[in-house]
Amino acid sequence: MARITCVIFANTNDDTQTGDKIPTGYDIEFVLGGRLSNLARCDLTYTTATAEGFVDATDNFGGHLLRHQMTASVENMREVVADEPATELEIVVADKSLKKVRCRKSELTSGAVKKHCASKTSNKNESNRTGECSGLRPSGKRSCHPCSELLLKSEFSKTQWKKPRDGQMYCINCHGKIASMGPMGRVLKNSHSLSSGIVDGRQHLVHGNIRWDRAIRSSSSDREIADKLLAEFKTSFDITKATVTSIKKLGKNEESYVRFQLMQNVEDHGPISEGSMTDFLTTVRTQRVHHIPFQHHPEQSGSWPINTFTDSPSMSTGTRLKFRCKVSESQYISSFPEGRIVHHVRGTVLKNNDDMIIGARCYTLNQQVLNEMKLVYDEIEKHRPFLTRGNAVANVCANFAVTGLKQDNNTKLLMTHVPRSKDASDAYQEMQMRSKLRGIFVKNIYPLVQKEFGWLFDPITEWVNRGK
Amino acid sequence: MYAHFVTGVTAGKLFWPRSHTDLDVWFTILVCQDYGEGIVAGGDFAFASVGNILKCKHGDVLIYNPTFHHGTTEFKLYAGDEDSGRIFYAFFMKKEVLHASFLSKSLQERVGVQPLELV
Repeated sequence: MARITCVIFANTNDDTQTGDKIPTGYDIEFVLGGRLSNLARCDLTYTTATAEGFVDATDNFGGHLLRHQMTASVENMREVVADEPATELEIVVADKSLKKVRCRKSELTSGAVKKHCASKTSNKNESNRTGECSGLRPSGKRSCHPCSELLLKSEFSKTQWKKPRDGQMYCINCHGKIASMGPMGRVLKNSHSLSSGIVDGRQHLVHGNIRWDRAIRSSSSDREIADKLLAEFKTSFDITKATVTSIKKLGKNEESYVRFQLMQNVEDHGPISEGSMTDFLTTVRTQRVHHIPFQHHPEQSGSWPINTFTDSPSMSTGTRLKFRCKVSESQYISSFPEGRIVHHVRGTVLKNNDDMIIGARCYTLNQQVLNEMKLVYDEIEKHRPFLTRGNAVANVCANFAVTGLKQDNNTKLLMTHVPRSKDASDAYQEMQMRSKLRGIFVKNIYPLVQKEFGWLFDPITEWVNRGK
Repeated sequence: MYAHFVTGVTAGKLFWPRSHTDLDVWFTILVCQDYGEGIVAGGDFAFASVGNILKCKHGDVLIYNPTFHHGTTEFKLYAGDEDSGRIFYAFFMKKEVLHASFLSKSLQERVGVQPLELV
């Protein structure tokens, strides 16, 4: 898989810049690392062929291509937050779902899939070999991948017509359109073949055929280097042992440390009762509660219209809610001890008795930045509809979304969170949203944090930048 | 990295989790934002291990150590007003993503930039 990226050679420091056309360059960034033209990563922003005008946005044709690119990976079919690597079972399920798409009216069982979607031994049968499910589609027609039309044999070249069922066929008309796009068209057409499913460099059963995924796998030496670097990082910046004194010794941003010392320190009251440490916590109930179980279990389908979620009347009265977790088991709620809510104008620092910072409140963002963040959030909601977390983070909420980078479940390499929408044009908006949120963080949020906590964050930022 | 040391961002609308810890490798930055009329009460940030809660207001920026128990408290909302509430943005540094970053980098240095194969 690859993504198109562009660089704007002017005003690059303004992520929110829009306006007249300015000089731009393009690159292709591979999910598994590397770029075609090797333009500097910091200058690049994600884009799509449609957004850049390489493909006519009003034409179903180009968008369709991109849409298939996005769904080519099983990664997109699985919930991106899944913690466990893909199992063979999941791979098989994904393959079956693809077969169902090809034999769309059949609603086949696995046995029927085998019957209709031919194995190698039944390839002598013309209808099987050409991917048709006898009786389910007009006889003698096959589907063109870009335009999705069922077309006669005469609409395809001989080479295309002979393609196996898992190949993507292009009718003569579509083939001509792609050819007229030049190099971009060739990229659009051929990038599909990077993977027919899961991207991990291993062998897979795809539509009855064994295929090697063409992704490059990391070697044991790569993993050794990565392990070593992570160990080095954790030695230098061990958050489980990071005291104020130890971090200050790193000697970064002394000015911020002076400001930090002006903040109000709050004493450590010790942990709340042991049974309540992992409970849902509340301060808004008139009657105190201690470790009482929820009436509902957080199932993945658990969503409640307004005024129906009785476990939290004060929330349910205001909005529809989701109560979600990957595991459906009892959850508990406890009241937090009274008189423990703190707020100070100059900022508040919570430290434990071991001189470790547990939490702190620093400055407040200005309204303009907050307004922009809300607009960005609205985009996040559109493209990243919901994130379900594990049992340790069971939650009640109106919505919860994620963006940024993640670890690919199969290759363990770096990749971005991908939009969940099926519309190709959403990919562009999602990438722009990601870019803008990043810009807001870099230009507005982090500088604010730096004023009082530069001594805490600058060492790590410097370490990360040195690694680049 | 996504930005500086940050690997990812979560945005939680009226997000009320159970008190928990995260497998992050450095401090998390949290931004509190109200929309509409905001909330009536609650929706603060609790630290169960030190028995304190940081009061949160619109626009507040917080930092916290994710390896200690933390979580927002229950919200009290305006009745029937779905256009009012509170969003928390968390900018974090996840261990597994940091490792993936190192692994991708070392793989790229070994095999070099891979060209697309155009037929």
